[in-house]
Amino acid sequence: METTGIRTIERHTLAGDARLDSVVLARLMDEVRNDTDRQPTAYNRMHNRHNR
Amino acid sequence: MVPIDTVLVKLASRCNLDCDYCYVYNMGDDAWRLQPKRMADETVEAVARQLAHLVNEQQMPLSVVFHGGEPLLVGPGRFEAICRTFRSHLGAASGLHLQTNGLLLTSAMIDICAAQDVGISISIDGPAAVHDRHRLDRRGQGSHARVVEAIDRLIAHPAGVDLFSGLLAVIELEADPAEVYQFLKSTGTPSIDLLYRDGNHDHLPTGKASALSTEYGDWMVRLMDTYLADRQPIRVRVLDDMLRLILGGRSRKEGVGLAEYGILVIDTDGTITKNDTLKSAAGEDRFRTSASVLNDDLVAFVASRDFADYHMAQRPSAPACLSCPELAVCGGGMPTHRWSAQNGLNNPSVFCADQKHLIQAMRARVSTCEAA
Repeated sequence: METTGIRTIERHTLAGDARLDSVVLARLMDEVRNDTDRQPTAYNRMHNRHNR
Repeated sequence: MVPIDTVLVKLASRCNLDCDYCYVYNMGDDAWRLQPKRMADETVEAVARQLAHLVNEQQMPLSVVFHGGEPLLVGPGRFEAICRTFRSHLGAASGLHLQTNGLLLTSAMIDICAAQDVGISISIDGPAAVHDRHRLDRRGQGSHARVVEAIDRLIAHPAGVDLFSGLLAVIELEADPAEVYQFLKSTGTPSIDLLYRDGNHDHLPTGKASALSTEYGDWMVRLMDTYLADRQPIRVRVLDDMLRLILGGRSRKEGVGLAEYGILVIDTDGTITKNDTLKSAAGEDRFRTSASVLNDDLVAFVASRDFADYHMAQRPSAPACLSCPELAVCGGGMPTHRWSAQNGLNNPSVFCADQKHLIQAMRARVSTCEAA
């Protein structure tokens, strides 16, 4: 569950030894790689996709 | 049949705020005046029953979003009954969600949300000076302090962390995006989302000098730079979606990327409408053939040619979009932002230049990080 207490995220590499020095980008890359960006949390509230 | 993942249910057709940018009340569409003020019990029952049938037919749960107007105008007693009705018909697999301006988000309302697992998103535009510029109550008074109280109340609730999905802000170009981000983060929210001001090619959004100018893109780039530099970031939903696409992932939001989305809107009287933001596009939110959950079969309607045509029309179709190298990230934006009287939805977004500017900046930031 996402909360305001940000979980610790290890730095990840995009390619070779390149490092992501942005916590945001590292977090997103981690989600993309591990396919966790579709897990239901309070943040995405299941399939709620409206934009208004 | 188009799989439906999100259903907006308009529990109330009126609002206790009078936001000057609202696409429901202040962008030329007065259809709300013909709607009942609150959704009737029999309509609530019909919506919930028909959605349960739809879930069963499509073999996929969906998320119901209580919307308005201000949905909590139904009052705590009716809100509890409505939540119970939807939960009993849809079971635990489907999501229930509340989009509220916060003014009526009492402890009793939060208790109801906790009991029925209803997620909560609150609308607030930033610090008081930004928010109260547009989000006034019916007496012309600012609403900021009361919204902040509601956020505090939600966070303090034992179930607050599980229920609170985030804050929704409409962009005020004159505000400092870093200040807006830091203020919203300071409320304790787990995430924020940003909306562009509505407009189209015939009525440019506030602050845009032309369809070629990049005022919103500039603002978003400044916001993104603040976000990317934050060592303890919350979530910025729209930026996460676009950046995730650039990184090879998927988007969630309507109007970002090319992933299919199926959104239904049920008006207060039970009428099924198109994307309700199309109200700001000369009332384009109505179907050719009117249908209601009270008289028509929802599954049959979703399977109809009328609905399929509408669904297809939400996809970008302008030649400039179809040949654009950034289409997979931009997705063509919200349909209402593509509209003109001359071409209907067959235009690039009125925010096309803004989106290109933002996406190019995103790619540059990702490249910089790769090279670091």
